[in-house]
Amino acid sequence: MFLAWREIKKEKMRYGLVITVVMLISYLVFVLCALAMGLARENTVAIESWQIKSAVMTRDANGNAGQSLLTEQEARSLQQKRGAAILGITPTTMKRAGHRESVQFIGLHANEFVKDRLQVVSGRLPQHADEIAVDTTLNHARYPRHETVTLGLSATRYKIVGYVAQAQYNMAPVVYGDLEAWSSIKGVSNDYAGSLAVYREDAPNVPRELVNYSTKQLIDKLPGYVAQKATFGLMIGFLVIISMIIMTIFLYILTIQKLPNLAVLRAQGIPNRFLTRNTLFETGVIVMSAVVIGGGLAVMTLTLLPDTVPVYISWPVTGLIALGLLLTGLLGTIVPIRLISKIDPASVIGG
Amino acid sequence: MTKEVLAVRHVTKRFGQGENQVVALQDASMSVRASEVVLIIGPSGSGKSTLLTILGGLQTPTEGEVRLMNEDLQALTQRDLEKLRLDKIGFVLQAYNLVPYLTVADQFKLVDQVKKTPNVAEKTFERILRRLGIVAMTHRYPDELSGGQKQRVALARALYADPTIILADEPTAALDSERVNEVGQLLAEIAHQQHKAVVVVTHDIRLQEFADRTYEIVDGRLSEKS
Ligand SMILES: Nc1ncnc2c1ncn2[C@@H]1O[C@H](COP(=O)(O)OP(=O)(O)OP(=O)(O)O)[C@@H](O)[C@H]1O
Ligand SMILES: [Mg+2]
Repeated sequence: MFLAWREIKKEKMRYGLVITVVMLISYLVFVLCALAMGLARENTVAIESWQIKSAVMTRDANGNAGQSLLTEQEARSLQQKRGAAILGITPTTMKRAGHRESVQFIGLHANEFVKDRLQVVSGRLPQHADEIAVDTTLNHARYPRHETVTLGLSATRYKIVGYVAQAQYNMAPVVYGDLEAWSSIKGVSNDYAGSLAVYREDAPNVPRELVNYSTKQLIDKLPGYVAQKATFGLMIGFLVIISMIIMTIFLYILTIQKLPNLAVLRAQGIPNRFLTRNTLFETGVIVMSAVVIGGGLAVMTLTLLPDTVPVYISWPVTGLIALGLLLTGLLGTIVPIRLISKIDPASVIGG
Repeated sequence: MTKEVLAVRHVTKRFGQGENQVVALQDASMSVRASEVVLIIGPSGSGKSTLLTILGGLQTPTEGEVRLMNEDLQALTQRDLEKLRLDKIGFVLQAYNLVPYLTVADQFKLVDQVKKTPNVAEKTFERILRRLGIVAMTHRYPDELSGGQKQRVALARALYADPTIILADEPTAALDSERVNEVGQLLAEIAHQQHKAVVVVTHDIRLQEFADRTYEIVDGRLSEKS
């Protein structure tokens, strides 16, 4: 530590440069990560807010709840198990005073568990078939409380009675309403009772025409979700690897330049581990200051982004990324540490 | 008679095999006592550096024995040798003696970081710094010092650990005549006043007048000059 601090102090320019480069990379990683999670949440946050364990829908829907139609009979038998709830989901358009909004309508039964899990931010949950509660991102002048809107094919005017947090599904804001309203909004006959059944616990065994999905399977079936996650994951992974390579190159060049001095120190009896520990410590200082500055800048940038850009900062994930950057940085010291351990102290005497 | 600090007995060092074999040292014997300056003088390629690395425990001889403070260097592990170099040997080299990003004061503090045995007494060290004329430079970095000043700091650094023996490799290579005399005098003082054994390897005959004894080395053969 003794050598590391003094070296960084003397060589501010060099270390400043490498910290800047690693900082920019970690900045990019943090911003990308927040964007990725923001997008992911727009897909899944509603499902996550229900805290379900499994879901059952028709086989023909291929995991896309909006395409699934359960008959009255199927719904009744699926409801038999405790902790079941029937939901009617349909993508639709919400209209009011010339404004149009693409939304996901989700109809709920009044006395089933999903309704108890919704997080009402203001107002209340719908109690009648012509009442709705909408996602908080719609809580603005165009969709004020107590006003009425039209939904999809239904002729009814629905009254906004409240706003619900974490109500986004498949990249659209969710409008929660009564299950009875679902069929008319979707424009299907009354023979159908809903789209899918969700369960607090494992789903019961189902006949061949139906399929049982775990929550993770349900989320992964969302159109584009897996591809999106993989794309961001790859970008973040590459950036972390690039930062490791930069660290390695930098530490390698620095160590090469110091080799004659390090050889003298070895000849003078300064142990190898002292010099190795020093290099590790230097790397730690570089990565940590880069991560702290990059993280700070990223948070600043993210808060300044307009609301239309979905962003989500997850502290556990951020911590994990910081740890990842630190570990890969330390991995980058393998090369210089090998260089140091191969120094022949006898080489200092000669000329 | 002061005690023998270093004893070299019948040391031979060969590099390579067969046709390419080089005999860098041939049956070299010598001894160094406390409070004396021993000069090893010889032309280029005669084996001076080889001898010094063997004396400092940086290389092992092919044959023969080196004893420092009556301890057989070949019987020691790498770790023991490292500790020996840290505690008992002060190296003064031609170049790169100083860590470029440490101030003069920190060059000494670095020794404290790794060395467990006590260093030279503070009073004595102050006297050494004053004698070397570097008291006012303790906050400077090596790149802010002249060649002669650097060499004096290197001497102070070597003395700081309170070694038994100083091994100097061409300490005057980069210096003009005036500085050569200065360094020669300092080495003699260190031997006579601090009671260190001082071994200087050089091809600089100007240092001869400061030596108590001189060995000559030619083609790996060592002999004492009378
Ligand atoms: N590692 C080595 N491998 C092979 N030969 C070596 C090695 N080190 C030294 N030699 C040879 O041993 C001989 C003595 O070399 P040494 O470096 O000790 O000479 P020197 O007296 O220090 O010369 P100079 O004054 O030029 O520094 C030379 O012929 C040299 O080529
Ligand atoms: Mg030499």
